[in-house]
Amino acid sequence: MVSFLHNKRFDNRHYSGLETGLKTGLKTGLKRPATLLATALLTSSILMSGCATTASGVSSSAMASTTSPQSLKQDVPAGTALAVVRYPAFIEEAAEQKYYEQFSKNVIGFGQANFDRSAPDVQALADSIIIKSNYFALSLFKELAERLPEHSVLLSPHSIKLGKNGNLMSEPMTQAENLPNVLAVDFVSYTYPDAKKMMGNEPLTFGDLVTPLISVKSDYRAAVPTQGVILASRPLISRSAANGRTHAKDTLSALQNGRLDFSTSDLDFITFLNGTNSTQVARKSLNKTGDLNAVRTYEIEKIKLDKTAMQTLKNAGGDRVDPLEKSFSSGMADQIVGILNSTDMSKAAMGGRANAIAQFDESLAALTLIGSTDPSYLGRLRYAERLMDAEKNYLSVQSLRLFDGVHNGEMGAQVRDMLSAEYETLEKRRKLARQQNAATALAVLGAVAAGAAISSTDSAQTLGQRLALEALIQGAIFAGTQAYSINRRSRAVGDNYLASIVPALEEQTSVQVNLIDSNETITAIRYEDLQAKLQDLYARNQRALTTVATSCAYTHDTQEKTGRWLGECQNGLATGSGVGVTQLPDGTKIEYYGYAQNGQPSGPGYMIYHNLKQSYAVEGTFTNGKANGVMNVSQSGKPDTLRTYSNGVNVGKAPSGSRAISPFDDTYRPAQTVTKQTFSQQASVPQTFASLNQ
Amino acid sequence: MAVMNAMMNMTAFAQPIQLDREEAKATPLEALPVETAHIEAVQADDTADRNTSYSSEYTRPESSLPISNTPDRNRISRADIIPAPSQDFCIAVMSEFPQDDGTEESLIPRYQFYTLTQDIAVGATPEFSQTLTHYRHISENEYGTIDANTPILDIIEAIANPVIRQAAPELVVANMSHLVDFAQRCETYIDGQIMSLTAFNPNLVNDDLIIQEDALYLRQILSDSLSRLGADAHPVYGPSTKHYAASLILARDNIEFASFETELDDIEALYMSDLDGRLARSNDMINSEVNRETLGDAVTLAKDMNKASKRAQKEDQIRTIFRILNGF
Repeated sequence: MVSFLHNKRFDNRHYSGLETGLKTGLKTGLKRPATLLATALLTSSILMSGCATTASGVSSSAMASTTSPQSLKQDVPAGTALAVVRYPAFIEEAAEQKYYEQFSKNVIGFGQANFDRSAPDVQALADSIIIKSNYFALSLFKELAERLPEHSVLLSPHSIKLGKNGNLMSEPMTQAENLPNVLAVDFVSYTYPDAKKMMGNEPLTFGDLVTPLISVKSDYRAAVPTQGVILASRPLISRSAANGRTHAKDTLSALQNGRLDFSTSDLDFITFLNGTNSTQVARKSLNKTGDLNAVRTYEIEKIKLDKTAMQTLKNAGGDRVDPLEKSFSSGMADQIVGILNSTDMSKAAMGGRANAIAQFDESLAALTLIGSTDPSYLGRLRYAERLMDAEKNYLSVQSLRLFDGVHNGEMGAQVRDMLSAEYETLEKRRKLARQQNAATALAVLGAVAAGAAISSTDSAQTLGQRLALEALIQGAIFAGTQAYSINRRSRAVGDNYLASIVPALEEQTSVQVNLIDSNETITAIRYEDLQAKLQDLYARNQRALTTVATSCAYTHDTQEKTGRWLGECQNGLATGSGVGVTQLPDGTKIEYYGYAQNGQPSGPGYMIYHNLKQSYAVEGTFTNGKANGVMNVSQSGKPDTLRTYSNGVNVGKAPSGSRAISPFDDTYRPAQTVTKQTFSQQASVPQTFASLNQ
Repeated sequence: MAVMNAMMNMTAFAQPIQLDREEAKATPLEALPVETAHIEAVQADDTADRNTSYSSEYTRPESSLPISNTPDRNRISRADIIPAPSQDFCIAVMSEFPQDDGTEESLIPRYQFYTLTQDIAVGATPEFSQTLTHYRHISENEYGTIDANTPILDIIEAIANPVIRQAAPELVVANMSHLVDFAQRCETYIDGQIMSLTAFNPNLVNDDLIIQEDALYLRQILSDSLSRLGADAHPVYGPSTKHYAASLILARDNIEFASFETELDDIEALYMSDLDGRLARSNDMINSEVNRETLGDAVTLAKDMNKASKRAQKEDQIRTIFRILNGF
């Protein structure tokens, strides 16, 4: 019965209709047709709406079943974080009402999106998303930190604000996203905004139930056709892709202005709540890990946490219990390691690395996009990378302390208390739901029996028969009204909890904000100081560069040099390695990473096209600005393919066994001029011998 | 400075050798025709160079690249060095080294001396050794043979002497050749001494970077001297001389980077531990101010409200039964 009614809406009005109908039937002297009608109504009404679901969930996420544990197989690029876990941590007061409004308007679930944003229960649920996301994001952080090298996973809590355009926006509360990273992982634990649906099938994060919303993204340059999105919850895919596209636009705009700019994007969940930006990209199911350029889709699932873990949460040592680990976080972390193994880390991190290096060495920054074998470049890069490593290691201390403060501190203890209280509430409601279902079953049985009795008797009933029939009907009515009453009580239990929890939510939000703010303030002050010290040290050890990066003219394949190049230049034109941006007359924007001559792409290169509909990339050799030879083509919804190009025209499949030349591959780097560094440039006399000569 | 000062002190303990410049001049070189102005210029250059400071107190970071890991060092010290054929020779020369007087302090100059000797031979490939032998013979023809029993410190001092460097590069090459020859012939003994010293006090390796810098300085003098003798343009000895010079650039880069890393590691460790402490204290402070009762109150309130709901439900049930039993 439960499964039959699984997707049906529960409506209490059915019960009052049922009661009225039965009363009417009885008062009319149990006229057979009317009674039969009432019985039928009773049966169908109960069957349709009388049974309650018991807030069930899956014990193990699809995240776990579609992957297996694996270790990191790639070297970590120096100074680069492998994963940054982003989550909503706080809402500014000015943004609260907008957040409630958008939360009640843009919903994930089966119900209609029309809830009263001012209702306390809606607001409590909205607030609890923030609190729970804060807590459960740490579970994912912990699992990732266990699997990945030390200092390579960072936390990035976001503050939700009201933007100038009146829309919601989110900003990182720490510096974690200022460093280059390979993957950004957004995490939110979602709850449907209607407390009445708590026991139904709507997404819920309450007690032992968690509905994770996630997105895993790299920089768009590592996954051009999907705007960098690799895996995401279904409702977030188009929003996440829109954020990736916005990032690409910002990057192009900065490059056109001769800057290596750095911007962080809103949390995908916030973009979803705004409901404004959306970019369609190809999708594939979660278990498809092949070469198809499409986003792996994680369907919404309500995860039921480990029962034993839930029961021990409140006990001493509850902080050592992670109820989300087995059912979700562990599998999710394995997924992320798998994604890291299949991600082109150099492409994913190159933009962030160049931006970070530009903060202290602009001459070197753009050169790092492609790299070089020039000894002077390698010598200088080694210093820059070590400096970035130091900054990353430093910021990871902040992440570890945030984890410690939130998970192991009072905040974590409060959330665990809250989860335990919610679990108790939910269990109570589950118990009531089972009672309600039992009562409903009795009502149905009674009604069916009464119906059968009525149909089998003729009009000449004996007194005994009439009394027995009335008792049957009265029993059915009682059972029905009892089911209704239990249901009301179950709802009241949920409502009572949500209504009373509001001050505690406020308290927890305030603790969380104090904690992050204090951590960030302390870190920022010291970080600035550290950066100054490191940059001074870097400047003192500055090595000569044979070639420095500057800005000059660049074109795609026309004579007019309207584009901008950052990298090696000669006579005011792009010559050597770097990045160039330009725009075609039809509005298509093009960015090119590779080698150039006389202001045009020439040699190995990676060209990304952004037109109105999609983004795609070609990688291989360019001559006079045009693709020439075997090129690797990346398009949405298709696997990467090797094609042969002639003077910019795709002329067919590439010969079997051929290979596209990548500008990022050391094997194919053009020969560099090696500048001999004489000893007089390098030498310094150790003091030992200086003293000897005195 | 620390290394050489310690060396000097210990050498004085082991065998009184005068290390002042007068004594240094009392070498066969004193008769060399050197222009005073030229010497002063060289000394001025040296003074300027000395301004490049190196931390004398440091610990080697684990991540730093020891010069012993460079291909050059491995090649020479492990593969190409001929085991000492003459035990007597090695023991005789090593007896001039700083001695162990039973105190821990005495181990330091002893270790430094052995390590410096070993590091000086880095990069001396068989081809380069032939080059050294060639120019050593030229020197011997002019200045005579260096006595096999000449104390190593005297040899080092002669190499580092700016006057000799300018006036008699052949002699510098000959002295370096003597050192390299000793290091190669007695490699087994030197290695054994270093291993036993570090086994006794592992902290001795903390000075390795400074010792490497000192060795590199001497190797640099050798390279410059060879260049002054025209070895880099020599049809036979040119390639090995150039290769040696190139290896010095790599070694210099590695040493400078190791020094940068050491300084950076210190800053990093200081700031990370400072931050960690501050954040921990801040977390503790915030935790101590948290009002845990709020949640408990909320839960109690919810329970009270639930009890009221339960009562209401029971009353409702009673009313329903009453209505049913009373015929509606």
